[in-house]
Amino acid sequence: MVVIMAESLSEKNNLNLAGLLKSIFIGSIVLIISTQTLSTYIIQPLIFDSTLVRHGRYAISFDAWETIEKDEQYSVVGIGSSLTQYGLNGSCIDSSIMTNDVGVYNIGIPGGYPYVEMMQTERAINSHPDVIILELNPINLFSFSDATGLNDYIEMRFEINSLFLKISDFGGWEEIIRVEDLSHIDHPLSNPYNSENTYFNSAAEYHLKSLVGSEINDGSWAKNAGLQYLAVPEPHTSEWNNYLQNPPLLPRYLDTFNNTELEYYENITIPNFLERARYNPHSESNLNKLALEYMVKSFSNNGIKTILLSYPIYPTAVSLLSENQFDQHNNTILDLLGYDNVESLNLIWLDIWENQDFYDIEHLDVSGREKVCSIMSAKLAQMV
Amino acid sequence: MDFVTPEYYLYFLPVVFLLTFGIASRQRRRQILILLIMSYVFFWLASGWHLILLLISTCIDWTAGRKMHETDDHALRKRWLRISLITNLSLLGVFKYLDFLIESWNLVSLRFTDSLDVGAVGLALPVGISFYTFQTMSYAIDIYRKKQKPYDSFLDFACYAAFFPQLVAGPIVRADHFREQIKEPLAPSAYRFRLGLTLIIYGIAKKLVIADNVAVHANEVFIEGEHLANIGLIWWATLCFGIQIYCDFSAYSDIAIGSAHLIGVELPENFKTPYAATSPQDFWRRWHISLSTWLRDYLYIPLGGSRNGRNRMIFALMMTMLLGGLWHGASWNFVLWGLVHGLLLIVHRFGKEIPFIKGFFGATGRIGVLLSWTITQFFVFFTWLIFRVEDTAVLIPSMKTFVGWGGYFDREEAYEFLPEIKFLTFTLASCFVLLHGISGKIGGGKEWLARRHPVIWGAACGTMLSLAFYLRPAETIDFIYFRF
Repeated sequence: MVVIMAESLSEKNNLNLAGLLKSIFIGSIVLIISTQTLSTYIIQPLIFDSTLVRHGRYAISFDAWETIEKDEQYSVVGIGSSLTQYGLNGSCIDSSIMTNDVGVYNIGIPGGYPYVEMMQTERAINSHPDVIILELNPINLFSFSDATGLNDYIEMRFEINSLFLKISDFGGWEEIIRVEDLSHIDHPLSNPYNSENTYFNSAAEYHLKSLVGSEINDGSWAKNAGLQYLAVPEPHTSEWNNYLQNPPLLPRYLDTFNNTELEYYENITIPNFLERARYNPHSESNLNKLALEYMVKSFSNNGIKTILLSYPIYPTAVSLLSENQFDQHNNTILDLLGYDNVESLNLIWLDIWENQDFYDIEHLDVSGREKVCSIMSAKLAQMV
Repeated sequence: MDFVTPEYYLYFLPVVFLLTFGIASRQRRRQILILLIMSYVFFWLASGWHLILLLISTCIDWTAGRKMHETDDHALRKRWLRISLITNLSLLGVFKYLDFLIESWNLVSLRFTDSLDVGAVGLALPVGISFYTFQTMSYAIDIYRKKQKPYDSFLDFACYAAFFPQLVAGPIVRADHFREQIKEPLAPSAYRFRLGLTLIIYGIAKKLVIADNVAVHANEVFIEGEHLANIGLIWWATLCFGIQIYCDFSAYSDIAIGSAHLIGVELPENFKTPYAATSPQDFWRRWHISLSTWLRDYLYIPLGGSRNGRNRMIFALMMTMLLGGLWHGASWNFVLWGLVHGLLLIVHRFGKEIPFIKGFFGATGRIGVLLSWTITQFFVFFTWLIFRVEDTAVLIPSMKTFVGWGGYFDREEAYEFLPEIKFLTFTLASCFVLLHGISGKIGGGKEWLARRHPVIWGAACGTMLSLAFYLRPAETIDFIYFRF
């Protein structure tokens, strides 16, 4: 059959089969190179500098893993949400551990949930980190069915992650993704270039505007506007390495409150907060739980040590928790400890925390970070 | 399934190619059978149970063709022709125009009574019904006129009626043309394969990069229906729609012709840079050629054509254009669109005979051509405005603004109102105008590219594809002519 087709295709109108195949091969190469180039030079810089999305940090995971892979030191990587972003000071832990060759990275993403963060599992495994600090707070276990308004965030994060996704990054996590969310993830065959397509028109518009002088495009409007917090340095530069260890953070939110506002925050806002799904974790039929299990299992199977870290919560909030409110969280920790190479560190119930250690109800501020730094350093020192 | 769904390229076309040239290689009958089955599969995936309508039309026209050919009895031949025409026109009437007639009736009856309100039937429009009914009707009419013989085999005829590349939105192929294409076993050639790929890639890029992006601007203006007195906005939106409809429809034709080339069949061209036309007549020689020639051969000439006096010619022309407008869709704006085109053709026809005008354009040379082009395209785009807007509350103020009746020019307002992606859309529209202009002068760009060195071909097609993947707007817009 193939021979007959090959014979038929050959030597007509001055183009033979070899010429045809060569044409298709060159076309494919040009397609791959041009799409890669357009993504790297047109879209990605505008995502990192937060022109196209609210926060450049949404895009750091996969490039961060490339940096970690190249790091020959003992590497410790914190994965999670803004709790990790605000709670883990990589350079502090680095310097507190008395060994020189340890690199501690913080790749917590604002708004991140295990359901979204699990996409980086295969890339993480291939980067051979030594220890992963996996955030496991009650908010990481909330059930999507209880939440509204998350779909846009999930879509945005899936599309941004897809910009950096390689074929080797696909894995068992695909089976956990809801059918309606799969369309947001690029697939080389069924949904190629969907994420690039989402951002390319806006990126091209921005570049065209900058060409005619309607916008300033030096690759970092956020920096120029004094919003360093939102912009991310260009990957694989020295600035980038520092950023991965110690991301810039906002000044303490609670310091902007006067006494009346603080009283309102503690007596009204926090109790309301504690009623939400984020603080009422579920451990059954929960996509976040499944995602956490998937990550822990995958790391465990690949011999990567995992620390399940539960970051502390504002002390006033802890005092307002109802009995058994976090039972499902505790049960999940116990479940996951069943895997090899997994340890846990639950900081919620320690009595060392003061309100002053917190940026807000759930994020740590400078002094809180220092406390986490000293606890984590001691823990890691035993492991290194 | 259609020409912008990945499944068409990933599964459908490769399967057709492999079956046609693998399993059925050099065996004509088997090849035709495979093409017929795959065409029905394609139609089923596109339009479901409406496949039955296609089968009815196929069987009736096949039988009518045979019966007319077998007898010299004029009355009998006429009867079979009537059966064919009534069947096809009934299918069209019921599925395409019934609700339109009911709505029009309700509108009229409201003037006289307030109780007579007939409910709409709400039948879904079968995909491609306007195309395949016209195609099979032309077959029956040609046999009746003894201009051609019927197909020898039902399989060949069914394949002609259902051939998947042109089934949904043309080009409308004549029976003789298709018969020529399939009389020998289908054989692929490397050049033809590459030409097919070139046309497909070019079509995809034209549809996704240009048509779908400019459509966002046209839709914003005509759907929102705001600032309709802003001349800049109306002109821009009309220009965008004119670009959209050409790029959308010609892209479909390119992909159809390209798909047919892959399996060794050549379909006729449907467009020849219509926006380079310098007269209404010239426009219709370049726009939707397969329909305009069909209308000429099966409506305009039978209605009297141009050889039976001035009045008859005016009547034939107006009827042809009115019905041509109605063919596009069951809505009054399409009727008006046809009417205006008919008027333009008549005005041009008689205007060019006026000595002063004849002398002016004869003496002014290139400037005259430029003036002629400007006037023609002004009115062509004016008719696109009518074509695009069905809602009279939007159409009438838009038409007034377009011709400068009232209205104002406010650049700031237009800029603020248009969607966020502006510079890119303007760049794409400009690129289209430039390329269309060059194509109008030189022509044959796709064939030229298909003959280039593999490196040039690969670079051009790879770039076009990557632009198509990246520049398509978030939501793909259906091919406009799918509705017809």
